[in-house]
Amino acid sequence: MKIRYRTLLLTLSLMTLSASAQTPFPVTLEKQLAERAVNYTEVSLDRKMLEFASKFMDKEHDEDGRRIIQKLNGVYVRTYEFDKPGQYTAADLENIRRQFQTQEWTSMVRQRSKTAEGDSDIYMKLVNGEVQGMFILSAEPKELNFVFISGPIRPEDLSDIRGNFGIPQGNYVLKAEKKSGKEAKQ
Amino acid sequence: MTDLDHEFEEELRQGLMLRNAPDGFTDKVLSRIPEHKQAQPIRWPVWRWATAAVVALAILLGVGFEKERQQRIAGEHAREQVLLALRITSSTLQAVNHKIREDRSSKEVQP
Repeated sequence: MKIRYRTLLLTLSLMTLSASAQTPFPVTLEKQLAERAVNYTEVSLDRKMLEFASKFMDKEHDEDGRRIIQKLNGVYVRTYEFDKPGQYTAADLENIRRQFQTQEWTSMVRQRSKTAEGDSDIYMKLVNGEVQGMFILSAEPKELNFVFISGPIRPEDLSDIRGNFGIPQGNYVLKAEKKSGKEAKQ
Repeated sequence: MTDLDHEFEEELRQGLMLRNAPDGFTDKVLSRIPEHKQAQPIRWPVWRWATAAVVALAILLGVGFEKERQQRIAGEHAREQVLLALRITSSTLQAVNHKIREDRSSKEVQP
């Protein structure tokens, strides 16, 4: 049985961003993927929103999160859940990857499957030897996840993200602000 | 012109001639004005001023509290989104990690 959640709007985008700080989410197929998805989640947090949120991250266990986001320019997350495989193609993924095939970006992880429905990629943006951005693509037959982090990321931040915020897979949408594919079509 | 006309003209001239008011005329006029009719400043009783001040203060405080409340709600929402984004990032990283490990172990099993 398909569970369809009523949606709360997740995308918080700030209107008054200076052009320099603005780093739009690079995935260009958002709308098409959302239309094909049964459920999808979008989180867009630019620098100002992160700064604003960090003022309220004063609860227990918030410290690591606050430290991680402090210097970031933006965190953009997209997850798409499909009711059957084949809702995206290898060409779709290649289109997305192509945006990171520049001198600034380095492919750290590159895993390919026959059908592209098990591909994984991690790209890092390296500037003067420092990580200034990260893009993660994780494809499953019925799921597609993108994470784009803009700004300086330290190795210990990655470790914290992997550890402290790691909870059993699939449960991260407990308070989910999910959108159903139908809503995307509207 | 008849004598009657002259006489009328003379009376008219006399009547319109500018004369100084007799001494003390101004004082006499002023003294006749009743005291209570003199202009007095409108005074609000103190309790009215106090009430207006309290109402104004209450409005200001109310607006301030409401603004702070809305700010806190928006902040909490933003905080939840940050945590959600970090959780998704974490689970995506773990999924990638898991796939790589699976891939490696399957290659190791193969002869």
